[in-house]
Amino acid sequence: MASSTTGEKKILTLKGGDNEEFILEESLVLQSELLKNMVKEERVSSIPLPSIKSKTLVKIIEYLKKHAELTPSNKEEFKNFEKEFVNVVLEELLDITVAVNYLKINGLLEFCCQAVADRIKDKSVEAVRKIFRIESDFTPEEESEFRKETPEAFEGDLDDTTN
Amino acid sequence: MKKSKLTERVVGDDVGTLNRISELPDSLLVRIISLLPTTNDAFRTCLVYKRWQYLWTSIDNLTLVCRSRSKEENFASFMDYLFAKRTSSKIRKFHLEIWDMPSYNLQIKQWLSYVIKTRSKMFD
Repeated sequence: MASSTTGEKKILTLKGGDNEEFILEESLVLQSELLKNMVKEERVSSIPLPSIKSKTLVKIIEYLKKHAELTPSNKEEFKNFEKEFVNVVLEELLDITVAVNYLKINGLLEFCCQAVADRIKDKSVEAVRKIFRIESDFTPEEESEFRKETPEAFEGDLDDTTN
Repeated sequence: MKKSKLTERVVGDDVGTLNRISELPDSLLVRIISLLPTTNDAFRTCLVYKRWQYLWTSIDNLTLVCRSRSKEENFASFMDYLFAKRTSSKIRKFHLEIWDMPSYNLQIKQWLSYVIKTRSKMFD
């Protein structure tokens, strides 16, 4: 992973799903394992990412920039930025999480997954379904049998709200 | 034209998040539920949706907390159930929080030896 930033900075173009182009320094995208491999092995200068919406890509690039600027002295500021970063509607958070998983940006992936988990933390089964807008495909009989079999899992103070 | 537009909007509103959640690969869903505070919370997601039924069997960090003395019996049978059904061959993290449960000593020994065996296999 030895890299030197001396000399000319390499430029790379990322193309989002709606064909919008984002021009950025190559060093920034090296945080993504997927893009790093593409850049190093195939020496490409433009990478199409048709499955990622531009809106999502903008957010991810914003993160990459902030993360690249991270130093011990602005750690607090970065933490606040991270908190705000995932403070979006669930749909957008899932878009970002899927894209980050695809791009293999490991630190950010863990953070996004935790943010999704936090949305369903301490929630009842019914509330989780509502949050993800999932309709149960269990029959009431199947469901009550399950609950009887493992009472430990379904007792206790669970939150029925979707907030 | 007006009609088709309306249909599109309604469909979009209704299944927007559902589509996205079904786009998530199982490995990612497992990662998400393994970040819930306890294994109990992760397990509970099995009842959300049939596709999620077995996700919890793949998690490799176990956090098990017996909430109260009066729940010992349920807790012990949940632990047995969990170890019998889980499919992951790894245990990356194990956290067990219980009261002194003398009548369950044998079971506790079995749980711990399961964890030790699983972990020692990981380093073979």
